[in-house]
Amino acid sequence: MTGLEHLGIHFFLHPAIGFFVLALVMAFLKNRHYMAWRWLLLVPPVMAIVAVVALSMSNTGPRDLTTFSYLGQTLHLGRVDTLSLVFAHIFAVQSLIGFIYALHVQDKAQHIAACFYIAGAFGSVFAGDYLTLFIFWELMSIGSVFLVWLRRTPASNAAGFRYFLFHVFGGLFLLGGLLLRHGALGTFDFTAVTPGTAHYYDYIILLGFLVNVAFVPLHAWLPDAYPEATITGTVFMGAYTTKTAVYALARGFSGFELLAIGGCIMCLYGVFYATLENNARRLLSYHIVSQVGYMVCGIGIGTAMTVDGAIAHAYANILFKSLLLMAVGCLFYSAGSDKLTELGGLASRLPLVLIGYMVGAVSISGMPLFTAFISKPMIITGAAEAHHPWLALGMEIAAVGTFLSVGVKLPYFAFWSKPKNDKPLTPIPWNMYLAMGISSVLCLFFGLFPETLYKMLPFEAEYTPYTTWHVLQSSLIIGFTGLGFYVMRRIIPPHPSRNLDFDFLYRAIGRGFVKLVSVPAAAVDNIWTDVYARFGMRGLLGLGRGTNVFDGKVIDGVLDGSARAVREGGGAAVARTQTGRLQDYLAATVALGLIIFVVVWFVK
Amino acid sequence: MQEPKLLGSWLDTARERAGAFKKLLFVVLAGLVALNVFILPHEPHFAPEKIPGFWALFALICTVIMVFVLKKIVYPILAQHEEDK
Repeated sequence: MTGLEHLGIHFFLHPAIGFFVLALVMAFLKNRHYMAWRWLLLVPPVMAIVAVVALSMSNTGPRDLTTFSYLGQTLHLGRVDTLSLVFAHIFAVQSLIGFIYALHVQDKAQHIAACFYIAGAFGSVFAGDYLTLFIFWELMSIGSVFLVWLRRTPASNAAGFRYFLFHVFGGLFLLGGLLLRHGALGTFDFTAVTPGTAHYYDYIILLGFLVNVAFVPLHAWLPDAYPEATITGTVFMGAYTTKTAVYALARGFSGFELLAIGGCIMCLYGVFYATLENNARRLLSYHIVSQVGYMVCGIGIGTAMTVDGAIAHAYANILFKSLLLMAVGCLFYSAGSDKLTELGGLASRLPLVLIGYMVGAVSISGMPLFTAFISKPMIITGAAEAHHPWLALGMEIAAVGTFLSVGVKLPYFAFWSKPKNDKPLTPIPWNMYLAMGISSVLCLFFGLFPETLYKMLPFEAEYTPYTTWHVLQSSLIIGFTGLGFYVMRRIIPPHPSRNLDFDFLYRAIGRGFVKLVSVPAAAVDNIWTDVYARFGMRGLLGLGRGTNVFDGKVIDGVLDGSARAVREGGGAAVARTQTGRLQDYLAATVALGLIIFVVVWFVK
Repeated sequence: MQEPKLLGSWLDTARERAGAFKKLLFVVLAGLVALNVFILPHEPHFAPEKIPGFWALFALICTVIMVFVLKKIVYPILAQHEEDK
């Protein structure tokens, strides 16, 4: 390994670069050659892992490795410190797992979208200023929305639009806040704010972050869109958007009580909705809200133990949540449904998927030996020690709800509840098993060797997970939650339904806005039609007879000529670009923006 | 890729012996509560933690209340037809 540390000092290879290059190369490849090009998918993640490990080994403290001037501003692309490195570390590992899981996907557009998305996440965690953060933040939104749209179903189209509109809304708050902040302070530097010194523009920026962190009631885009994304897309999305926002909160807004209380509400809200949910991917999406709630709460409490706990839990959560989404994705891929009412009796036919799922389930539930056991109690213990017993209690209730839904309900109704399922199953590609295997091993590894994770944390808080009491307490909570499930087994079975959440509110606002515009427009149109029928028609008929002569003799001749020119020239090509689909225009805008960015970079 | 058939048939057998696993669960739970009599936190974060079986009762009651309230009271209010929204 000697030499890697020097690499980190002398040469900063931004992990996003490999993903940008791959996206560019993939634009010229054909879907039908995927058996050849699919191996390229693993190159940027490996490069990212090497780059992050090199940076971690060159332990020279916080540093600003890449700046460049752009449009009169200095963009800081390479702020490297322990906080950015721990997130970059798990982002790099997860990018490799995610692309292994997606190795069988022949649709290159999905891979290009994933590349932009991951590049955006890396760009955000290494951003030293708000302007750079905003650029990569928006790139993440665009990359991720394509992971939803590329499932190519009417439901995914609609959910994608709602997702994108909501993220544009959040992005505008971030943009507005950072511009107002620049107006007041004259700087775009992304630095920590304390609750006592925060101004209105800081709260506007915070609002932008809260959208991405799925803060209740701004969370509904997440359980709305994630279950509609492609199978592999959901795995990527489960890892990056909310965790990048957690990073941004840890960087800028530690110690805000609003976050402490709101985070605890998120923990509970997510598990409550998950208890009601029938769609397995939506159930896990609600658990993203819940688990991110622990992190937000820890950051909000703001002690060394709770912030370190939040970061450790973000790291662990990426591993076990992606494992759960991968296992449920395998179920969907193989059995053709992600609804619990349509599954069941699959344990003996998909035993490896069951094992992968259960490793994720016991990990998220905080069972000893697995990841969340070493991270989640740090936040709860930290909350109690910081004299927030009610928040600690709320998080303990959420821990019960987590094991109830993810540890018992979902696997029981997906794998066990019915007699052996004899429906035809699609064979699962080897790469999906491999990705689940790697995640499972890592969930166990960090559970067994917590110090490997703790030494990456920025505040070096002291916490010993493996005490007799911690192990017993955790076992009691998990065991008796299982007994509770047994007691309530006749009430808990899921039903096919979609449960009202806050997305209902913004759908209603959208429909109201359309009515607001369309009703007056229709009224004006009706009046105009009457006026036109009474007064305009007679005059126009006379005028029409006169112009008919001119039209036949002059205009037709000119138009025929120009139509021929357009047809024979580039008209057809131009027409092909005018698809009328907003998705295409959005992709073209991003491509054009990147081209301009690259041209300016090289010209300068 | 083929799933291992031997493991599958073992799980089938396990499914048929659900009654035995249930008994095993009850024994394990009783064992955990028995351990709780002797093992208590040195620095409890909540006063009732000092009572043996507190966390067992906490988890059981939370689960029962959560499931009952959510499924019987909240769910009928929130549930919509899957395609309705």
